[in-house]
Amino acid sequence: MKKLLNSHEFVVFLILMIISIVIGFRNPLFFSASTLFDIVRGSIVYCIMGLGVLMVLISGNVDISFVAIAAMTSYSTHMLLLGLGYNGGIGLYLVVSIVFGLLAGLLMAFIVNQFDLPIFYVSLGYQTLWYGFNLFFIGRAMNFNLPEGLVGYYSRFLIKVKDPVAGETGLHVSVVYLLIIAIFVWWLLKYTTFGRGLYAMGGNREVAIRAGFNVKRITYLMLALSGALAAVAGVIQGAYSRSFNPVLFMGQDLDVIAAVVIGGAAITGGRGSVVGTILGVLLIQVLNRGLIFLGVSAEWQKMVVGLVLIIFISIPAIAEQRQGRLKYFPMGKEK
Amino acid sequence: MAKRLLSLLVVITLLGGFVLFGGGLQAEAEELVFATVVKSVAFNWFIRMEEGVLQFGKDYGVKAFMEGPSVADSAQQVAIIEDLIAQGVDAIINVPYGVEEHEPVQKKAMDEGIIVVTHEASFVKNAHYDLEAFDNKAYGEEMMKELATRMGEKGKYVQFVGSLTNASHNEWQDAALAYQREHYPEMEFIGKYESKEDQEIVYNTVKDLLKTHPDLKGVMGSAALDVVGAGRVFEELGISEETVVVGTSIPSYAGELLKTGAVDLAMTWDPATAGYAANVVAYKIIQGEEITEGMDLGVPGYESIKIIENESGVPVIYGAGWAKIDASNMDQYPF
Repeated sequence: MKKLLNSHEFVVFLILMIISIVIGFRNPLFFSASTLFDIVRGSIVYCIMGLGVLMVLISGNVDISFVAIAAMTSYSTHMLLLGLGYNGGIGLYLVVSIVFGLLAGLLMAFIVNQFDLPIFYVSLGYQTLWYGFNLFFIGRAMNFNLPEGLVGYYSRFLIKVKDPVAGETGLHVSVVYLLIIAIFVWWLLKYTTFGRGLYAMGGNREVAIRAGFNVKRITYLMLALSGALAAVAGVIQGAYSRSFNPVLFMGQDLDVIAAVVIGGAAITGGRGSVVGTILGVLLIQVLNRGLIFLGVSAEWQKMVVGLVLIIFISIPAIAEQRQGRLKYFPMGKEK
Repeated sequence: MAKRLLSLLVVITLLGGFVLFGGGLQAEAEELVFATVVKSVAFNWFIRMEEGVLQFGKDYGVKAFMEGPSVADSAQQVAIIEDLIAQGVDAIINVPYGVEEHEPVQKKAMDEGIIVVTHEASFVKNAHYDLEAFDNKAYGEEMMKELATRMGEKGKYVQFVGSLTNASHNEWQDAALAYQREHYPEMEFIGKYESKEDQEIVYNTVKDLLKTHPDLKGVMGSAALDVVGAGRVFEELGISEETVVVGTSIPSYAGELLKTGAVDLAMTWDPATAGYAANVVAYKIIQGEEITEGMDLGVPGYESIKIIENESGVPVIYGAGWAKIDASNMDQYPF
């Protein structure tokens, strides 16, 4: 119990609650099922991408190309299936785009592994490459022609609620994908050699190699998975907005990374969790959207998000310092 | 070592393949080079404009092309213009994302002897000419009349602009607001929000606004995607019958929502003819021709232009007329 209370995730959860209560206090309309569902809906794609980012961060790397992979896989899939006259639902979209995402991730891992480059360096170019690929080879126009099977997907709900003010809203079905992915990633991190390898790599790469982890294979799997998750996020976002965009998510890479870091992942590697990532994304969503409920200006809200980020990056550092001091008292040491 | 070289070769071939397809822009000597710079090359709106730009190039024997960032961003757009100045193009036709941010670079271009014609920037300080499809004030008032009639001249409404520094968008909306205050006292203005030309931002903002203002009845859009984001919300909530969405847009964006009536009316002008006409203005200046009131620029809507100097002394050219598009006549506008 004490461990739970001291955990980073709990702190994030607490702050999320406090902020929600403050917003709700100022504007009671914030406390409604429809607000909750809207925030969840707005978070799903970022959570899915965030879980890919989480794995990369845990391994001690930073990748900013996942947004471009999301754009490339979803837009290419859409234009391809449209060209083939596909009329079905989201299923085949997901399958095709996941294949593209896996391939894009594997190619990146190949470059990283062959030349022993930090993922961040490669991802700088890799991001531009895939956006450019979309614009040059696939098309520049946002495409609004949806196959019949996707029409209506944007308002398919698991639970429907009658919004007291505005018609009908609900919990979008895509939350199921998030649940499956979250459980899968959680299982990977906790119970597989791959997961332990990620933490080991992030802790100390040399030690991980000596301990017998196949770092290259882990990198392949990690980037392939991250590419596949980005692809799923891209397709879901396209289905939400009823249009497929060649420059989807452009400029939002750092927002996602920031959310994952707020959720407790260390940018230096070795630490991070699935629950933390989801809470981090939710926290940013609530901060961003609270603006309209509170009626504050966009500039001010940007500053708040920045401050929150700095505070959350400092918390683990301060905690570690304190732990350092506590070393002299063996009883107080947790690790 | 050989293996590493081989893999380097593979990567170079893969990536180099893309580049080879590209081909550079090389102007032949003595040919006039006109660059049209737009907010983003990935918008259908500007892809339609490019048709006009290329047609002008063919008709006048000028090397005319269009460039712009992948996402609407003043900093990137300014950087592109800097490059064009360095290349020594003869004329720059600029559609600035934010007018003020572009003043210095437009001045720099003019100082270098480049002809600068702007579009959607009637407040511009540094340009030889600005070209507008119509009088912005009249357009904004017309938009308000359409909104008010559909709202029964009462109820709450909000406005969206692409950016708070976009001259035309703000001119339309400010004129609309002034007209509403004078003629429709029972309508209530809630606020003017920035969409950043992103329909997801409009979508989330309208959803959250509905919670604070459940009786929100009307939305006015400025950027072509604004009405799409708003229309999606009302359609998904099943309240598109009771709400009114009016604004600038084109059928390739708003088509589906125009058909269902979630977007009530799209107002527009043809970006292709505007792009053509703006290039003609630059051509005539270079040829030493004077631009005069009543002149024919050779494309529909610009057969008899009006010229009015703005506050900074820049002559602003006005074409005639806008188009109103709803479900009944959207087939006549193939863009």
